[in-house]
Amino acid sequence: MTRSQEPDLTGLLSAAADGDREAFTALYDLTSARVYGLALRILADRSHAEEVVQESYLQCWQQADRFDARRGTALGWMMTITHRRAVDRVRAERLHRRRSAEYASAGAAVPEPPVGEDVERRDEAVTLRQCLGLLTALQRSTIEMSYFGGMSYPEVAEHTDTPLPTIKSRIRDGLRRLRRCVSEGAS
Amino acid sequence: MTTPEPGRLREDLDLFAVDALPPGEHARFAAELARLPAAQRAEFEAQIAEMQAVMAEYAARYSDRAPEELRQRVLADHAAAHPSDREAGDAPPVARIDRTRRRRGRAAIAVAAAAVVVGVAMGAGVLIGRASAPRPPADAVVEAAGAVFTAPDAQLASSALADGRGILTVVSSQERDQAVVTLGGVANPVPADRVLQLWKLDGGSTPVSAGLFSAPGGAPVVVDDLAAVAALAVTLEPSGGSAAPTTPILTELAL
Repeated sequence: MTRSQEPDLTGLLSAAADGDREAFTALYDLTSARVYGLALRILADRSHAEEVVQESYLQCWQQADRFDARRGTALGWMMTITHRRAVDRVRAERLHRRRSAEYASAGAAVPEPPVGEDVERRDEAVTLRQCLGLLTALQRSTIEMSYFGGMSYPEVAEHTDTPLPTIKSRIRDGLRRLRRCVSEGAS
Repeated sequence: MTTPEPGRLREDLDLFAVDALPPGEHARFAAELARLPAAQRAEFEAQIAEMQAVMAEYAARYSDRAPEELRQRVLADHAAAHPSDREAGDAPPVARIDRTRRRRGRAAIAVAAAAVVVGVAMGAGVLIGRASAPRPPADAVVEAAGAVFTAPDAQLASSALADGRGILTVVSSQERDQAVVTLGGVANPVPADRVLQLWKLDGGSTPVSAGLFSAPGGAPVVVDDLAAVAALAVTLEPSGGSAAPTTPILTELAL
């Protein structure tokens, strides 16, 4: 996504894996708000989120050789690791029961993108925002519930009291539309 | 074993990418993906990474500043696994303690965190694992910290300050008769006109100032004549420090 920034993060990740502490510090400082924000959003619990972040960075530099720069961005890879760990934990701890109640009461409100970032980031946010605009409200809220609530599609189905095949195709169609739109917008 | 069906995998590809499949289906997808012919697999993996990158961008909306204490823990994990001279055999006691207990003890993590703080404060990774390396520039704090960190009897203690003012970490050596004291993990920084002051307690008479923590993550305080010190304590004082504590003790650490 952030193409101009990407060579930096990839280089930092690789240097960090080789033991370069300055590189790792820089990598952390450039990515921690995203990584922590994601973990906190999914877990809604600071101490669980902090542990997941700590484990995720450990995994990032220990398994940096598994990252393939030809197949995605370093940031995307790191966020995927974090998401996976946060989801594993939320399911293990049954924290999503609490999250479910939260979604039920507040709906799946999505904050606006942060302001004051550099121009390119804003351009990308515009692309993403336009693509999100193509989704139906139901597609978007089920994607939110699943990705940021840490729920699998059967859990979303149960929570929304909707038939399983309906929810599965709703999430899938929404994700696919989003992916294709962003990919076309970026090219 | 059944042959993977690319069509069905294609259906579930985006759900897999965002961890929306339940555990059993997730594992089955991963296994079938791994058995696909290379070209087909590469195409699917590219689409999975693309989906993940989109969601990573989406997640930027929830960015949130991570606590400083977490930063120190994460950096300490990395530092502990990468001694700066890259020779485990020469690693000082603090690093060894850390390596054996890293995943369990918060105290052990704090040692490495303290080492990082000190290292940063000194402007380079001059301390860890450099027992026999050329001496760093003539700076009393650098020299004392280096000596204490690499002393064979180096011991660690740490304690959280009240009100989120930080975590006090003390690395001491009886042999050196010195301690190096750092303050990190500050959740609640002190106001601009206040400072955290370190006190030496000998168990009887009035506390004696051991120094000021100028800034979070700043230079450590070196305590000399440790034999005469029973405990260390921290209070919040007006900037410039006080002759004697004027506010309640935020933490006290027996040596």
